[in-house]
Amino acid sequence: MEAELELSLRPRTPAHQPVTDSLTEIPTGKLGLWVFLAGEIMIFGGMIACFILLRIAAGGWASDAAHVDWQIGTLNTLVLLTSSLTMILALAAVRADRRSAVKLYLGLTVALGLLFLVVKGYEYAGHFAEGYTPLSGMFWSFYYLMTGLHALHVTGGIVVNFVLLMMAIRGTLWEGGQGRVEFAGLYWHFVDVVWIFLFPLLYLSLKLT
Amino acid sequence: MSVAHDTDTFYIEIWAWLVGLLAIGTAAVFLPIPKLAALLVVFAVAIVKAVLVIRNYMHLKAEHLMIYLIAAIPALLILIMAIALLPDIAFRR
Amino acid sequence: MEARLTVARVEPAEHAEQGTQPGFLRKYVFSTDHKTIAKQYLAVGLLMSLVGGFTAYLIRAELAWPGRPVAGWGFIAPGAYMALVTMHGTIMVFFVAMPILLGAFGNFLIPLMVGAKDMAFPRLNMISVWILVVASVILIASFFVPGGAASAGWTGYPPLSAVPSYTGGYWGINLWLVALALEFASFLIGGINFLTTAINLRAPGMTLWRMPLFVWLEITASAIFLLSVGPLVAGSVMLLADRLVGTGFYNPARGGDPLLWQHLFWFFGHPEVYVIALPGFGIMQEILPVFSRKPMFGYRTIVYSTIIAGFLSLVVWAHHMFVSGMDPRLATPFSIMTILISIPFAIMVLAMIATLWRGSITFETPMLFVLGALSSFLIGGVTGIFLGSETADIYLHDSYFVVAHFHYTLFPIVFMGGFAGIYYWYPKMFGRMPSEILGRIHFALTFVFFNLVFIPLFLVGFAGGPRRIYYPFGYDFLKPLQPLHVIATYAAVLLLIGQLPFIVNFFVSMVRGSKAAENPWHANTLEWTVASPPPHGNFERIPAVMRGPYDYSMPGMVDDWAAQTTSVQATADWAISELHTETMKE
Repeated sequence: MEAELELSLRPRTPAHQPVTDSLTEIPTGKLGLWVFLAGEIMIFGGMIACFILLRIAAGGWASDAAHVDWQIGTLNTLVLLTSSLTMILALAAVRADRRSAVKLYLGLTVALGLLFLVVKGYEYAGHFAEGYTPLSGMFWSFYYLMTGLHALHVTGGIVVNFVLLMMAIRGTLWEGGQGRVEFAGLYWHFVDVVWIFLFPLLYLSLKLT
Repeated sequence: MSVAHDTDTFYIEIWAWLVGLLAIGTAAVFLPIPKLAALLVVFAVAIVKAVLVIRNYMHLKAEHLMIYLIAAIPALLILIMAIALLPDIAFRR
Repeated sequence: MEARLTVARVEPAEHAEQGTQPGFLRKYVFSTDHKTIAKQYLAVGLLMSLVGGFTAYLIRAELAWPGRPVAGWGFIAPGAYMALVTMHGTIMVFFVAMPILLGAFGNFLIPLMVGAKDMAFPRLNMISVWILVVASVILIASFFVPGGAASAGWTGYPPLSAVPSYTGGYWGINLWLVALALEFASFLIGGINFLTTAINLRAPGMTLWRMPLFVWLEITASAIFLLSVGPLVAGSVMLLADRLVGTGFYNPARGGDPLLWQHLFWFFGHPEVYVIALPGFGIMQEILPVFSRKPMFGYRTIVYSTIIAGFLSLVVWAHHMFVSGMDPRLATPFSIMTILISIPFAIMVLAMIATLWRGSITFETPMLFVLGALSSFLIGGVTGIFLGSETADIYLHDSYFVVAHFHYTLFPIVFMGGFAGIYYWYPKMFGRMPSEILGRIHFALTFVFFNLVFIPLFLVGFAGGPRRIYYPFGYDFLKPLQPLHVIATYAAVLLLIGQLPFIVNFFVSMVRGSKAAENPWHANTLEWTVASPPPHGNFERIPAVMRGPYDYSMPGMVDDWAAQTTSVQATADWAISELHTETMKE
């Protein structure tokens, strides 16, 4: 376990207080995670920017967009937003040391994440059945690319959350791993925010043009 | 740190706002309003939802300025890049 | 003589080997110690430089006598020539420059210089170097696949890179893309470590304004790498999709745009060269004060210039695309920003010269290489201004002028700066002194022959000689340039041979060199306050930092140096030193 992680739960006793007059008193793990997220913003942001630019250039993806189901998209957005809620509730439970609540909320987050993937898979299957593959045009190429990359990130988040859930069930989470719930949460919320932007871009905006 | 004051109820309240905004954004597509207005509503909704999640779930409102900068600078940079690329890629001669 | 004040800080036990000796694998192969990881990065960089150097030999031999079989190799086909220039660039930039300047020196020095026991995330650190090793293996493997290595230039423009039949190879570019993606991941993870460690793990008293300049430049480099690589990661996935799946992201007939790749690539590619340049400057700025026995001139100005250069580097990318057919209205703003970015770099160069001014200069090998790097970089930097002007670039783009320009910036920074750093920190890294004589011979051969290779190439470029051409002398107007190419090739061969003293020195000194003291150069920064090489955990007790890093020959001091842990009361100059540290100005 990383001794250098300054857990946000530990009381700020003098022994743990940063001794430097450093610019920040941000726990090291949190700082590292936000730097990682900054990199991720550039990756997803870059991809989204390319989508917007080429879409403006093409001007004519509305016909393709008609084939994505806005209802499924809305449902999936709801699923992910709720999973963000359960994730933050898990963190609150960790802070209040309500151990069974932690297991419940982590479990719900994992379940909702899996539900998101299942719905996505169902969507993909539907598209393929109708003959819409990544080669069916620029809209579809981007659709599969962006949702695919997002789904990979969701999968990674599910794995991490599942590991934490197992640690909570086995009891090993309480031996200093509590800070990790916060970091996993930050990552999970980020994945949610990316979807908050992907949803209107892919499901809604093209209906308006 | 104000995170200590964020209760479960508060988080659920935020979630309720998020769901409400989701409904508004999706509904805007079907309302009889000009397409440009609907587009603006949809993306404004997305931005507000993102801000709600980032401020309240990711606790950016209680974080050090440095974290703000770490989050804001990449977003700004993407905006700059996208704008710089508009003439070349979006508005092709 | 100096009072060393240290503060005991409660440090929880790290690393499982508390009291037990780790096995060979855990200690040398799968190590989480930043110093071992640094040496692993150095090993990757130096090994890959042999491959890169060999490709350079083949390229130069081909250019001097096109179509003739190369001594020690044989005939080079045009497609193979394109693969050589591609792989030379890719290897040198991504697998030599970055591993040595960022991976090796950054990892070794940042924790030591800020007074930390290790990086913030040691296990992530180990993962990052192993990802790089895997990436290197994949890249080397791409030489041996059917169709050969990637051959669309290190810039990989589509459609040449997007349509496999255009280059005649398939797996070459696919593996190239995968290797690059892994390399990006490796340095993204490393960058997280560098930034977090420098921000959060500084020792007591190590304020940001007392941090050695090397650390400032490394973290600025890490930050701009982090900020610029994202869109290219996205773009590379799109290029891979074009190749593997058949999408049309860069195909105009399918709604894509090849110019999009160029923008994405250079949005990263330009900051990338500053990612490489800044650490090189950092190394020079550590060595100059030590061998001039003078403070680094203009500490705060250099820091501000670094940050400004970092920001500017993110908005100049399209100066690589002036003749690409992009919107001409973009040319002027980018040209202006490019000319502007020369200002912070000029300031840094002037500050380095000012550091030398009236110093007690001695010419040990590290200093020789720094002086060589500084003078050569000057030429490279100045020629960049011509290329930054959108009008001059119309003539100079894709000519050998560009090649000479970037070799005059990259080679001094990466190789001369890198060698300076290796000779300077060799005692600290390996506990032995390298041979001065071999070092000076190495410098003389490197400096002389490097210039002899690339000055002729400026002339070739100015005369209109284009890059990436397998057989230039088929054009009448280029035939008179052959003697210049021949000179460059002879010089290149001698340059490569001139590296032998270094190779000998590096390995022999490790076993036969005289044992190094703690501080053979009488330098101030924290790494010189611990043993050579430092023990696992670096500092028995985290030091308390009392002063800035460049207090050399301050009025009233008895010694001409004072370690950063030396209290200002212990040296007679306390009043002046405090003033100096607080108001250290341009």
